[in-house]
Amino acid sequence: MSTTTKAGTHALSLSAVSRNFGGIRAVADISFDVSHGKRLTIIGTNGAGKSTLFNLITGVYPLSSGSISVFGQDVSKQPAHSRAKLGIARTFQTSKLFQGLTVRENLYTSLRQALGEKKISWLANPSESDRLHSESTFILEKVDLLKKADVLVSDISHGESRQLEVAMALAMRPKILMLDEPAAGISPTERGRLVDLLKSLDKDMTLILIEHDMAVALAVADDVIVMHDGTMFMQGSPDEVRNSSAVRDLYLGSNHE
Amino acid sequence: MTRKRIMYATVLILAIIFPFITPDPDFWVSSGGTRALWLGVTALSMSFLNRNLGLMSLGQLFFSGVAGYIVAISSVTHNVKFGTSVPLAILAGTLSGVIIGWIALKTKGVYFLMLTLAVTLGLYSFANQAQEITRGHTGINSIPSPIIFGMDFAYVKPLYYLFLGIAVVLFALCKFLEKTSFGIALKGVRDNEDRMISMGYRTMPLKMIAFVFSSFLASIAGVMGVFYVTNISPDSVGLVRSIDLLVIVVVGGATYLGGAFVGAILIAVFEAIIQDFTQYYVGATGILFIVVLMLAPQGLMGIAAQVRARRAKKTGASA
Repeated sequence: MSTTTKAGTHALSLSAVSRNFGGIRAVADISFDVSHGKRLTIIGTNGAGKSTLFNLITGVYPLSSGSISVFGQDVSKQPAHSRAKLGIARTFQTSKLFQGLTVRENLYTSLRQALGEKKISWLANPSESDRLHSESTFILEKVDLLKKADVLVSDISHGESRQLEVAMALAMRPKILMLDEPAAGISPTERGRLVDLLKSLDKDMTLILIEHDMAVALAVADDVIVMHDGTMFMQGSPDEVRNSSAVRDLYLGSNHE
Repeated sequence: MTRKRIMYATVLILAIIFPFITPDPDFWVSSGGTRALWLGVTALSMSFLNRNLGLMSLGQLFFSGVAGYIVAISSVTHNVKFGTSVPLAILAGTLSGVIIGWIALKTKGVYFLMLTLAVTLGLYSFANQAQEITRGHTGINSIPSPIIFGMDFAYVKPLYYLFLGIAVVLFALCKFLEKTSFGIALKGVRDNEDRMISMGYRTMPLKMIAFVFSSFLASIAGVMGVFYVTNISPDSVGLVRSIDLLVIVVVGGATYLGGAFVGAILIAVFEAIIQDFTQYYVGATGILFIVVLMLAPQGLMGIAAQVRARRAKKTGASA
């Protein structure tokens, strides 16, 4: 992860980004910049194109048109693994954890990438490496999963999976952390802990969050983008979005009181 | 962990004293023990791939066949010493895994299964038709036994212990690999390859190394087969043998490494006994297969987990 971040360079820039699936316009003409260290939340109704946008940024899908740059470098044509090396880490909306590995082993897969592939031998046992072991313990403690460290992921709860998703993204020590609905389906207690965790993140880390839960979304954001029907409906501060009648109409229907 | 170690030690001790405690040792050590170890190593090459990469390969007998034929042809037709032919055969079998893997690993699931089976059947046809090289359907017979440091492995017990040594080393090697960063990354690819890619892993090299390693195991098994059976023919690599192997892996427990040997022991012992009673022993093995899978869908090695799950369900229901 050799990219140096200069003042004035945006962590992430999207310029007229579009993606069609057959005749369906999933994401259309989206442009925005995210400054280094900012917290951006993307909200929008189901099917607004939020997750597709994430997949375009991380390189899971190729762009139909437009361009994306990360720390000033055009990555539009780069594959997902190269973008990951620039410091982008993400979580997934539906849990895509490695079910047949333990909680700690899941974390090892992230830590190995973060610490630099060359530093950790393929033939070393990670649980015998002091560094990997202590780093994984530190992160598991942070997300309150230490007691489940040696449990198979297929045997942990949904809420715990979400916590582990965040832990794995954090373990990558990303410059840009992208979380896709981290609060979906978790209990109020877990939600409170998640907000605390997100607020405590290193200010050097740029955070992009997709979130349905307005309380979580607006609590951590500096800036909010509202997406609708694949397009950018509004961009503003949390207060502006909260007070926007157009956004309220969008979420609740235009006939609400 | 320690409980597992005690279990491994017990199994190993039993395997070591087996030739001294079994009735009719000449028959049982060979038909039960040595044969099970050979089949077990072949099945291990299949289980390793299935367990760690989620890919069921019917191509393992291709690699076994390549290695086996090289040893057979070079020693019988060209009088090449085993010291040269065996490493060469294992190398050739392993390297053929690079080519096959490069093609087959672009597919998954049933396509992978069919593609690897096609490769095995290709070798079967070639071995049948290329008579000047392989002697066609008669195959190559009377392959001499290896003599290492003056010990003649034509005798039952030395061959058994040689195979036991090989099986233990290869099993331990698989277990070791699974604990490494490489092994964890493989399981990551098995469970969710897209995620591994988005984390910055290059997954194709990982899959290739695993595939080539499994062809290395199958090649060693191919050489073991030549020394055990003392002949090789197209039938050694045909469809029926490939299905036999699949039966061993599934009966033992396809997601357990030890399942390869458990399945091999069951099938070897069962066939050794049943052949005295009926000429329809293939059908009898089929019935055994169905019975085992009805009672233990995860294979014999999966019974413990099955019982645990049932107990958890019961306590969960009563709570």
